[in-house]
Amino acid sequence: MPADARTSTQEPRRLPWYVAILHGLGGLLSGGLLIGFLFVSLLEDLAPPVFAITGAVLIASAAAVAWFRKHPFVRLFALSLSIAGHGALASYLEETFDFDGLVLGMVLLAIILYALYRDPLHRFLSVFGTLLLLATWIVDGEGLDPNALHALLLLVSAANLWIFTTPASDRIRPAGYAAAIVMLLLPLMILDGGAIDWRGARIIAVIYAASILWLLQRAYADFRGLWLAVVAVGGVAMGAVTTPGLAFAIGVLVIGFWRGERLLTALGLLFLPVFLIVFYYDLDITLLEKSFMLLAGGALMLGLRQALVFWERTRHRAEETP
Amino acid sequence: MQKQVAAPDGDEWRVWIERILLLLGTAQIIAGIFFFFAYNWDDLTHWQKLGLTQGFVVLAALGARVAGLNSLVGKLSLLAAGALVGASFAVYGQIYQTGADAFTLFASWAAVIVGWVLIARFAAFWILWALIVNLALALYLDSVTNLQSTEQNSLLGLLNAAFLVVHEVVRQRVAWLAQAWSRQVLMATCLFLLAVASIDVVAARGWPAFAERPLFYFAIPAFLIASLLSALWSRGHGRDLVGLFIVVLSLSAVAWYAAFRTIDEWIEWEEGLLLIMAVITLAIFGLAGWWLHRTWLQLGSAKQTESGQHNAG
Repeated sequence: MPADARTSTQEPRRLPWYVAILHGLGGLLSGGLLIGFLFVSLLEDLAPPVFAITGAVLIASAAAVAWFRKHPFVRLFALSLSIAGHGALASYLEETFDFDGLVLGMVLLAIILYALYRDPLHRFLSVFGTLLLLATWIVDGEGLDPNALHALLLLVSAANLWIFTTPASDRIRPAGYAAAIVMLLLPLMILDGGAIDWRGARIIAVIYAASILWLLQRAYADFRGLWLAVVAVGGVAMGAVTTPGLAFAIGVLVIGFWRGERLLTALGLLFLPVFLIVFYYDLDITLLEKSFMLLAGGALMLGLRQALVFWERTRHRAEETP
Repeated sequence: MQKQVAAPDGDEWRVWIERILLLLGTAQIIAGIFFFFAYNWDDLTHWQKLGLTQGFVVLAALGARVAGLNSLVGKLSLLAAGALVGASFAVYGQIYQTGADAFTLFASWAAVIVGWVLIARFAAFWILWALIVNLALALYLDSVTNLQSTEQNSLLGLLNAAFLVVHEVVRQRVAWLAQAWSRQVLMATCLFLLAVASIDVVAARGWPAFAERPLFYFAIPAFLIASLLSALWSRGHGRDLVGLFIVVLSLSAVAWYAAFRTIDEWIEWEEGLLLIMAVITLAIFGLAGWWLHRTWLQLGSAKQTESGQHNAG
């Protein structure tokens, strides 16, 4: 019997990413179908408090089941129950307290449940969903200034840095992934919002990139920072001009490689071309000027690479010379 | 506490940054060339258009010759030359309006660069070539034959199955195909196309006459056989858990849709369909996840275990 299938009060073992994807798909789909069934057949004509009780019972059942049994199938079942429970509870909160109440309730619930739900996938989905809800609330909520998205951006970038660059507990790693994805998505939301002042995001991007550089310098005693500094400064400089997301994507890529977090590296590789396209798309210049800029940028990068190769060869020769 | 991972040393950082700079630099230069053409297109004469595109092909090929095909720079240069051959064919077709079917462009492109693909010893170039052949066949099936999408997807799936077999046979002998990613791309393409064809068959109301549409009957068996062989190969020979994931995911998708269609036709209690499908979804994805997890534990050599933990979300 696998170790994680036994009843235990220890943290459950992390699943490989492909099993996590299967469970995530299965949990979301079955949870959605379950909530559909509940609403269509049972709750349709009932008072909102019944939604709340149903949601609370489902969430509590999910937490209890997942607490005592760590088998992957049980974790999937708990995820499905929990998603259905969240749907019922969210419906009650929205009916009773409007959108503000829904957001506040969901944030509080995510904080409480983080300790109770010990499945990393469950924690990731819970934090990710809550952060997205918060972002939507800031943009669409009545009487709110969309510029408050910058506070959320600052929060998720700081959380991402702290979780992945310090010896923080493994338990908050799922929150770190949720923060990283939201940090990469927020600059795209900011792009869409004409009412948002960009300067804040640029400053946060510069602080984020500078912090990574500083942490790297601290981590490597024999820091020969030339190539790191070149890449970081180049990325930040480009990001600071128009596209803050570029600095975030490069930052995630660098942290992923540094800390051996391959999923984080993959996220950086996925978003880097996206922000490069946004960067060039946003430039208020002709296609011809963009083509020259692309050619010059490409030549600069290939030139930097050649300089690194040349520098390394020179260093080797110097070391080999008696 | 957080898992302990050895941080990369200075040399590892340097190699990694060199690769990132090479990829980004090459991509930006290729994009710059396309932007340049896009801006000047209307003002260029036919000779300039053809001369420039073919000039870039020659330059890239010369770059590969100078850098040597043992280096990543040389391989990428040859790949860029191969990609630009397609661009020059497209320019030729646009200037002279030959009236040929679109698939001939891709077929000619694939035929012309096949020699480069063979000498480049570069998995990414081989996958690009497979993509071009796929496009050629897809356009041919769509424009020349009267086959339905189910049959087209079945044939394209079979084409990728053939590529996969060739890939695995050749991989035994050559080192440059030793990485798993190219096999996984071909396997995912093959199973995705066959799964879509199978879902089409399940979704169809009524079956056509076999004599008229034999390929229609062929989709589901082909999908099941391809899935079985891929699973056996991934588990036994390749010990490739990502390959197994691709198989399990495509099987789960087809099984889920087949269950949905079957129950939807039989059941009269419409609300009940949602509940039953929720249970069936749990069963299908739970079983798939459990089996994959158990296989992961069984095949879990130290390296695979570490790799899985690195990637856990």
